[in-house]
Amino acid sequence: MIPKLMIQVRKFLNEDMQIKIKDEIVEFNDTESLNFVKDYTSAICTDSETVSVIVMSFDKSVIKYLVNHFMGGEEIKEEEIDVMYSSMADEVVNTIVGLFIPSLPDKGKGVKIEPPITINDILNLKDLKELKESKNRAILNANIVTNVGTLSISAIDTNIKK
Amino acid sequence: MLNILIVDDSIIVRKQIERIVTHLGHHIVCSAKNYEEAMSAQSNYDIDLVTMDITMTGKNGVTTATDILAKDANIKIVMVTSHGQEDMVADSLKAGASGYILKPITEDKLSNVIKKIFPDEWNL
Repeated sequence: MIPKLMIQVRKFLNEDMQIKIKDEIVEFNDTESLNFVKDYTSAICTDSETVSVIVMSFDKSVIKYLVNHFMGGEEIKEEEIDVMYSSMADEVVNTIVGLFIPSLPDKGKGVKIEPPITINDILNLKDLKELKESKNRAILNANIVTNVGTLSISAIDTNIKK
Repeated sequence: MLNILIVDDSIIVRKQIERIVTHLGHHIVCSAKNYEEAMSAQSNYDIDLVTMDITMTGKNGVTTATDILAKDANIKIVMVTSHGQEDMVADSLKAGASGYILKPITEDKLSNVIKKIFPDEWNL
């Protein structure tokens, strides 16, 4: 699962967004080590036999670049910047997970993805804390350094039955 | 020039589609973030084409497309979707949607699907 997810991350960044990857640090950890410290963070759940959670966290500079790319260089209004940046984080994780699903066994048939969740308020942080404290398994943390900033991706297989 | 309604709960996707369809020479009548705004727009504007997000919170894109087509079967609807939502795409097409595009959205993908649905628009 993990190498295939990383293939889609690279493909999205390099080919779709023209972002150059300078370095990748991929580690397998437990949930205790989850640490989303970047400026914008978004999570998405996939449902198959068990529920998986994929979390992506971005430096503001990465999100700023992506918004500019999506907008074709058009300026955005000052009052819309924060909501646009959060929306961008959601959209990236949604798109990458969508691209990843067909690489799963049986082309991901039966795997569904839920709408992304922005992790920026107390409720979501509480959920994240519970996730970290639960006895989950199969954690991937990848830190990706690019020419426009750093992003991280964590994939968590929760063992939670659908 | 087509009159286009954009329906998507993501502001960045609405803005991206607005930019692309404007660049393609079409007119955006409204950019709606949910079912209610979409249905209101249908009541207030003449619409040729709708781009419809498939997984909106609240009533989803399949329901919204179905209800729009129930009021006006001549409107063409393009579903905007990610992989992993094939069942919903199938439901949308059964309900009468004219096509779909997979994310990431690009100008080429959007112009190609519009060209298929409205071939005459490109010969004017």
